[in-house]
Amino acid sequence: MTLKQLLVGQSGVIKTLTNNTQFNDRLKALGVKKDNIVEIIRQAKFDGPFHLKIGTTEFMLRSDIAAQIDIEIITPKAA
Amino acid sequence: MKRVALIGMPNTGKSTLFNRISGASVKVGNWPGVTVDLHSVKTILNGELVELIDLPGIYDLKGYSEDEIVVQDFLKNNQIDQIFYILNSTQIDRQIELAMDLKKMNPSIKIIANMIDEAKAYGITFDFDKLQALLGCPVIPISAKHNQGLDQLNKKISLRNASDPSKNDLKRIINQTVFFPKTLNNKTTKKLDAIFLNPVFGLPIFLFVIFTVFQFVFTVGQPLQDLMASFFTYLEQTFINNLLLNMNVTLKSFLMEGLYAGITTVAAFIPIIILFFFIMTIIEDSGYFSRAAFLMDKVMEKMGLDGRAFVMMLMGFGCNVPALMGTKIMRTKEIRFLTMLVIPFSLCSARLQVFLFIISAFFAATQGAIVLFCLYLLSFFSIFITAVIFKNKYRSHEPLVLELPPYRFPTTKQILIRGWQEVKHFIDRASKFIIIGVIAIWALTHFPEGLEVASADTYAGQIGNLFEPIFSPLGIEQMLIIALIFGFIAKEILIGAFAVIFGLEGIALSAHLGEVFNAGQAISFMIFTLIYTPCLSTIATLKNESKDRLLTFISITWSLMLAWLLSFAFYQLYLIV
Repeated sequence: MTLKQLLVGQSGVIKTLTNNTQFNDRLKALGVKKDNIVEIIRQAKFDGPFHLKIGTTEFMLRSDIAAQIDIEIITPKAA
Repeated sequence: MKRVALIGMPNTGKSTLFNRISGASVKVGNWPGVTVDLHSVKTILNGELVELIDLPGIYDLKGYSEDEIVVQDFLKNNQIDQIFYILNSTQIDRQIELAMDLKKMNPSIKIIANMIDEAKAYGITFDFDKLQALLGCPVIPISAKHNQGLDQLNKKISLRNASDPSKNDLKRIINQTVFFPKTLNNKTTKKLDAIFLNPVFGLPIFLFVIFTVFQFVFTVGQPLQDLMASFFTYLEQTFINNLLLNMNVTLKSFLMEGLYAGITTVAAFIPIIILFFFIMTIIEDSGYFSRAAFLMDKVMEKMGLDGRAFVMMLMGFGCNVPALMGTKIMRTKEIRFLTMLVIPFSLCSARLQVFLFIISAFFAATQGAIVLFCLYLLSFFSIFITAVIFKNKYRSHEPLVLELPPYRFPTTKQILIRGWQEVKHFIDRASKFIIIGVIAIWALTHFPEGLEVASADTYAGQIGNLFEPIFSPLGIEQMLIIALIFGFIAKEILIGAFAVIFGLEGIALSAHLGEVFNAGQAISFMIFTLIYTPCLSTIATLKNESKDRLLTFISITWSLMLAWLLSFAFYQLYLIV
């Protein structure tokens, strides 16, 4: 599934990035890279940008980019 | 002299550290192979005198953004003896990789682990001795903001040379030397985000904050501007006039109404710029700026802009000049240029003064309020249409990923330094252009000699005459065209220009205007005034901040065109109805 499909409060393990290598370099610098865990903190209204957290870094990412990033959802324990 | 380059990612406190080291003695200069000016300072580091160069913040060395190219070009074309790599200690795990890339280029690198105070507050702990041994380069924990550990930068540290760690090694090294707590202690930021990024209240809160900022800037700024004005009048009346007593009339007029008026025009902006950047520093450094960008991003994206552009645009409703200067935080050239193109359409406080004067001369209170409201709507409309038309010309190819740093409050020193730097920057860059412009307008309204100032036969009057066929479909007559020429300098002087042109002042002037022009002409004139070039200072700032002639040209011609079209459309409609 893609990062965009995650719900607020859920986390996922990043699998693949976008198919634009230049985009990806920038994303990697912020920690968006394979095997890192990303958490969705909130999303702005009207399909606006996501507020994401990876490690200690929080940042915003537009939802069209989030739709290009593949992740594997981490199911919350003891759900 | 040895050269040390200061490099780091954005939001690592690089400028704070540079300002700490340099104090006020910064030099701005050109470097081979680099298109932008870089700041540098001579200082004692490692026990010897070195030149420290502040490079723009970058995310990686392969990058394609303007800043990244500057750093690449700089490193390619200039001999560097040492690199100071500054990082945010709380994000050391993701920022260390760039340090190792740089180390491959220049093994003489010192890593400065900044914001160590914040890391401690989060509950992150470090084993720096082990870290520097494993990395093979010194790692110095500091807090630039609180001036802690900076003396350590001066120490020579010798380490056994370790081989460059691979990316996997790096992960292992960080795991062994940096200990993150299970849950970060960042409750304050979380709580504040819940308020400021609230889906319902976030935006109203933001608008309220901006409103308060305007209130502050103008309640404090206006008296300061008045004080400045009375100081200059005092200077003129007590000293300068005596000095020029026996001088040739034309020369005296040139000195006073040209040169001196130019200098006072520049000076009038100083209080506003200082105050604006005091506040801007707080908003920017606090991290609130990127929150506002987050809230507004979706709407702005449709216009080819981003959330940050929205904030600068709103700032423009106070004064266009600092808003244009503020766009430098947008590191993508295209989005920055598009933002610079729309800001001049923001109805600034200077235009507001003119409108209030004209509206009171032509309309009753309730009617006047509606007119003013429509002018604000028109301002937004002009911004919107300009962005939509030019968004393909200035289309950004960079993804918008904006960090949302924890909330911080800048120190008083940081705020003061920033205000001072921006004013200095404005005076350095814009004053020449503004003074020359004011002198040019002086010449147009005072020559040929022997005529009444700004009367029909002066050069300004002749230009007015020449352009009358273009302006008459807008209901704007020769005398008003002369006023518009004055308005080019600054909107504040438009009313003064009326006084000169019609030889009347205050209530008499407003009564006279009400007699000779009809309401339609007045509104058409205001529409034109709103949209055509805001003022010389705005043009000067736009030109110097963008360093792009084409953009400056587009900005001027497009705004004149749009002003004409909208005034024309309005006035013709008015005549029909």
